[in-house]
Amino acid sequence: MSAPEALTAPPAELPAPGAAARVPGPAPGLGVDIVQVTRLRAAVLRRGDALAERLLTPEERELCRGRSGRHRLQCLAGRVAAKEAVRKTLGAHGEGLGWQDVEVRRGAHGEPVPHLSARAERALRQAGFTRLRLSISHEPDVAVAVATAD
Amino acid sequence: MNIREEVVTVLRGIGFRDDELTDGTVLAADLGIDSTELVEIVVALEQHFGIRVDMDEEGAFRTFGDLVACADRLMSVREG
Repeated sequence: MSAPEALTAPPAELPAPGAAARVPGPAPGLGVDIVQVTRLRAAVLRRGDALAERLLTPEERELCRGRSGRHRLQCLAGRVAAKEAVRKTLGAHGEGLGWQDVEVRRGAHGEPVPHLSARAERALRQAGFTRLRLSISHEPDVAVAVATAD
Repeated sequence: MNIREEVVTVLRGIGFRDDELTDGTVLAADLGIDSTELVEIVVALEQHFGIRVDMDEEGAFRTFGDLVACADRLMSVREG
């Protein structure tokens, strides 16, 4: 895939005469997602590195590298949940965003910090938000992420 | 190569039954496929056919028929 920035959609076109414009409803500003680690592990075993390469940005893959297999999987699961949670905050404004449009970095204190591609940032602003907050929690079998936008 | 049958084979390997896979089968509503499972299906199709599915296209898959059409188109391009 090209970098998300290279795939940036052009500004919304005017609807054809007589066609109703599709206006996304209000974005919820809240998103939660849960990932079953055992299920993700099975998928990783079946598909190998190709799965993580599609789900994670290069920076995220680097962040999740160099740990035990268990931690790598937890890192992947947490980021998958986080990306989904962030997309959910945007409601219909987030439609069309891909896995690489939301990158979850690590802050100075280990906290997850969401970074958006140009088009995801645009979707955030079109949804009426300027700020995202994100929290991820892990148990051996599940990863949960909650995101808020305001 | 019968692309449709090959796509059925790929999804059978992930746990779906042949009789669940009609062109109009809706991936989320009929098969319970979520975004994480969809990405595995896409990677499985890439590996099976030796194709590359654009990440933006992944979000547009709604039905089993969409998967078949995508694989068919990319295979046609690949084979020129």
